[in-house]
Amino acid sequence: MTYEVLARVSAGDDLKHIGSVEAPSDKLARNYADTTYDEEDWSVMVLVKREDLVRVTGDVTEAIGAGELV
Amino acid sequence: MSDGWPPEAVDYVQAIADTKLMLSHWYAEQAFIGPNIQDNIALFSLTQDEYGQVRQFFLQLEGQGLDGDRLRSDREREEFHNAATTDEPAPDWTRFEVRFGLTDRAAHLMFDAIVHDDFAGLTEKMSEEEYSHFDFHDGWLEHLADAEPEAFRAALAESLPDVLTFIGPAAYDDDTDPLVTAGFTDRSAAELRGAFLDHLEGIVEGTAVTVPDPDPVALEEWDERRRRVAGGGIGADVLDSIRGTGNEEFAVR
Repeated sequence: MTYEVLARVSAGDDLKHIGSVEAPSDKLARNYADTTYDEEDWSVMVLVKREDLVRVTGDVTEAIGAGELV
Repeated sequence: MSDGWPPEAVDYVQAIADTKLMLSHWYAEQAFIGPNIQDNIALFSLTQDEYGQVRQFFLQLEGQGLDGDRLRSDREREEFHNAATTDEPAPDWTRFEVRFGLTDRAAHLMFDAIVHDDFAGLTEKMSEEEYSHFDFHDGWLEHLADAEPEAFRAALAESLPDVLTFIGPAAYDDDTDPLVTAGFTDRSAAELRGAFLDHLEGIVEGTAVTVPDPDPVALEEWDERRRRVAGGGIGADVLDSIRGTGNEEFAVR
C-alpha cells in the first residue's frame, strides 16, 4: 500500500505533503515515515492511504505520473 | 529502593546491555538484509537507539564497580552475556525479524521491570525510543506470520526457546525470583514470560501460525549470569568487529 506523508514543523504552519512510503501495514508505514522523513523536528506528521484520497478536481493518476504525489 | 544492587541485578543489567550491544551490531551489520530501502534506514535508526542505551547501561554498571574499558572492549567472547539469539547473524529476513525482533521485545520487558532508583527516568526514556522499534518489528512480524507462515513457524521453533531462556526460568515467580525479592524489579521472570507470550499470541493472531508450547527452562540447567542453558557465544570475527580490531591504527588515543 502507498501512504501519503503530511507534516508541519510548527503549530499554525500549513500541513504539507512531504512524500510517500510503501508499506504492508499502518505500523510499518508509521515507522518508515518517521525514519525516512526525519530531516525536521515535525510537530505533526500523519499518513493517508493513497486509495483513501477523495478526488475533488484533477486526475490523481496523472498527478502521480507528473510526480506531484511521490 | 536506593541502596546498592544485589549481585543478580548486576548480572541482569549486563545481560540486557550485552544483548542490546549485539542487537545494535546486527542491525548495523545486516541493515541491507531488509527488503526495502525504508527497512535499511529504519535499521540504522534502531542501531543508534540500541547503542545509546548500551552506553547508559554500561555507565550504570560502572557505578556498581565494573570496569568500563573491560565492558566496552577488553573482554573475551565468553564474557559477553548476550542472549543466545544474538550470537550469530540471521540467514534471511524472516529469521532476522523473528530472532532479533522478539529479542528486542524481551529486552524491553526486562528493563521496563527495573524499579531501582538508579534507573528512575532512564528506562522511561528508553521505552519512548522503543516505540519505534515496536512499530517496525511488530509490523514486520505480523506481516511475515501472515504471508509466510511456514518460514515463520520454523524461525519461531528455532528462536523461541532461547528468547524465553534469556527472560528467565518459569520457576522464578514473585516469591522466588531473587530480583523481585530484592526489590530490584517488580515483575518476576514468570510474569515477564507470560507477558512476552501474550504479546506473541497477539502477533500471530488470525494467521496460520501457532505459538509452540513454551519450555519452562530448568532452573538447575540455567546459567544465571549468561541467561542461557547451553554454552556458545559470539564468534571471533564478531568480537574483532565490536573491538574495532581491524581499524585500531586509526583510533584516537
